[in-house]
Amino acid sequence: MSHHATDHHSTHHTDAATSHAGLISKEDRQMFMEMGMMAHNNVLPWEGHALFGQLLLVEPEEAYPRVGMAYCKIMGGQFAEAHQLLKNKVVTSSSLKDFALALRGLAFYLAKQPKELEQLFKEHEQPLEKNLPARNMFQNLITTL
Amino acid sequence: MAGSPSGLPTTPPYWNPAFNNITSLYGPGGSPMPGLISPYATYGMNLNFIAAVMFPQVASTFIALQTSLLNVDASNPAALLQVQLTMSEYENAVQSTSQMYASFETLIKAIIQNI
Repeated sequence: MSHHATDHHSTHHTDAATSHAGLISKEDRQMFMEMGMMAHNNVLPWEGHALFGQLLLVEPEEAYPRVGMAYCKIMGGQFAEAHQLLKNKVVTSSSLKDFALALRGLAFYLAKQPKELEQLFKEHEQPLEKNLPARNMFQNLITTL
Repeated sequence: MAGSPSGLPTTPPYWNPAFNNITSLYGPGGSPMPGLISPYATYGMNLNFIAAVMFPQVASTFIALQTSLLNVDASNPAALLQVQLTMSEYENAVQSTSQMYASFETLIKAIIQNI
């Protein structure tokens, strides 16, 4: 998770002009995602919310701002809002959908909702077979709750 | 995301079940140094904080161990046994959650890599 901040700025305009993937480069998205999560983990929940809120405004059709915001909601105990964000079509139709399921599993785990956790896993057991980090997370959640 | 047009909450709540749902030795808020530093700052300045949020059993067994150590009477075999018991409960909690923490860390890294 290294940041090459000095090299990014010269490539922004090129990325925006030539790629329809979004306004922000992949490396910067990764950096912002990590920054937002770390901000929230480091006793700066407002800053985490603010960063992901701004990213949501800039790239509303991308999944990662919603996933990041949901992470903040989960860590803030706002599980219903986290589920709402992660169930959004933008997320469920993205490459992050399996990870989003694992985060929803974490939300059920923290809310002490074992039935909902198991049901979510059963509903998506097959697609999760292909995503080892998400599947392992689910299995750990289910066995320890 | 109610609260403002951009969806930003004005006062995002700070939630810590590890300390909210149990009686802390340090009283409400859980700070060992009330008034000196924010109670939030005592929960760690890195990913360890997440562990405290995710695994309240680690915190609760640690506090039980701390309590039994503070109250121990060395001349009382039953009290010493109690310390041993709470220590093994704490060790079990740490062992059972270390795998969970590793998978959580892997998940977060994978999310960032796959953006």
